[in-house]
Amino acid sequence: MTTVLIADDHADLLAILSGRLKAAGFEVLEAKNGSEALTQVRQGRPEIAILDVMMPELNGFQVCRKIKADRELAETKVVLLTAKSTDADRFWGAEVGADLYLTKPIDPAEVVRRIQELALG
Amino acid sequence: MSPPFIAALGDSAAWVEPLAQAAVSPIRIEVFDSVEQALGASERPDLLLCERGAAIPGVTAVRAGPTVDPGRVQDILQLAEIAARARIQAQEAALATSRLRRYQEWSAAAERAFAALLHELRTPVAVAQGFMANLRDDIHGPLPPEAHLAAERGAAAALHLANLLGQAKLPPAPGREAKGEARSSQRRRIDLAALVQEAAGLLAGEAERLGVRISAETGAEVPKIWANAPGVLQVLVNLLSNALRHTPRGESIRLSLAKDGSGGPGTRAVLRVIDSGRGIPAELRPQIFERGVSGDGRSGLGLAISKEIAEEHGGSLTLEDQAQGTAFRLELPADPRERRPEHKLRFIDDPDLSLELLAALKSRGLALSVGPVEVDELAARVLLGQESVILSGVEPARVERLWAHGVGP
Repeated sequence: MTTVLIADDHADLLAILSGRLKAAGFEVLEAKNGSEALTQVRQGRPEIAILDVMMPELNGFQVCRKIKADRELAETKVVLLTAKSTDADRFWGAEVGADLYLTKPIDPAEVVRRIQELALG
Repeated sequence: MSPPFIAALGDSAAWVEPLAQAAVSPIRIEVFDSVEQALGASERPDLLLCERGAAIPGVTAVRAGPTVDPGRVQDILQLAEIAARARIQAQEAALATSRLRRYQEWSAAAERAFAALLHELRTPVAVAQGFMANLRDDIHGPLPPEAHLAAERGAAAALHLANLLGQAKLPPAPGREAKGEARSSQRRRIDLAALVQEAAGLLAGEAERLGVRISAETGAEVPKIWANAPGVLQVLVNLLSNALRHTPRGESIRLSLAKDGSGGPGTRAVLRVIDSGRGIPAELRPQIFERGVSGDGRSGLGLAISKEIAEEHGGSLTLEDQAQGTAFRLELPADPRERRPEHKLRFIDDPDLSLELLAALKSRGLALSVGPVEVDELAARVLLGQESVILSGVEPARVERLWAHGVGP
């Protein structure tokens, strides 16, 4: 079973995706902020980490950079999820090594579909 | 509109009668014992008649002794009229400026309120949309068919609302280019040298790991720029990380900051990022700034975005010819306040000379500004190239303030 970490500082948004991923058959880890996300990645070793960009403590870009810079964690596929959609943000997303960059608003069904693709690929 | 006001001091009182008789339109002429008394009158005089001349900011002074020269009477009346007109124009301009300033403040507050509202709305809309979609897809268990249809419609409507919020923006302000409008609204006066230091600081760890030294040299008089700091920082980080990737261990990257131009409107701050790597292959050089083009299998977005950001600022990002390694040249226009105006202020302390000049300019039909104008506003008008200004009797402190605005004789 594929394990997915989902990190979002908003409890409802976390619950929406978490419920859906579980229904789709993923094992789900949850984090409320960036540093918690990093701890979960280190301890739970999920295959995929979905990170909201705007999070307290460490933002999604920073967590992604730390994951990709860590030799043991670098294989984790990182999905950045953000309301920002400027070229600058996409640039930073690519620069920190994200595997997928999803822009909100997005139907949660679409998020799960993209995660399933990522899990297969 | 109050009529031209002439204050006659001491012996100049002899001129009052001839002036009053010669005037064809309403005029106010009063005799005072001293300059202080004249300046303390209910209104500030437009013209001061005195035996030895005087240097008073914003007041035109005319030398006029006890003997009346009938040939000068009309000239003096004319000058009083010009000065009065200038005073009224200055008052109107000050009023318009204060209205404009209040409007700008309101406009900025409205912009912030709009942005805050959008920000506040996005999360609850996303929550509503997400839960509706989950209901639609039976994530919380199967729903009766009618409820299922309602959830489907609700989820579609919420997604539509979320999309509308995502695209909502105010129309561009007048004079603001449509492209890069979001960034231009966040521009401020920036010290490029400090930003270069910040970028170098961000990449210091990376440079250390790669064994590459970053050295920066700043030339004299590098002008401040008017820019969006995060945007320019992004360009700098990108140029530097590019250079870091291509510089062999043990070698260094040189950052050189200089001024280009003489201080006129074309003046720019120029940053050259020079590395000693193997350089960009000749076949890649023509399209190095295109999206998707990269020399090392990376995304190839960085240089394209950097060039766009530079151009949004009215600047440029180019590749220089270099015998060895690579040199990128980033040019950004100087903050307008750094540039010297083409119309220069002339300071004239001799009241008689300024009087002659005023008369000569008026006879040539030139627009003049004399009298009490706020120094800041005056500087702004001159900087905009709208006006040449002649001042009589300028206090040294005001001259210094004008100099500080980049305006000089």
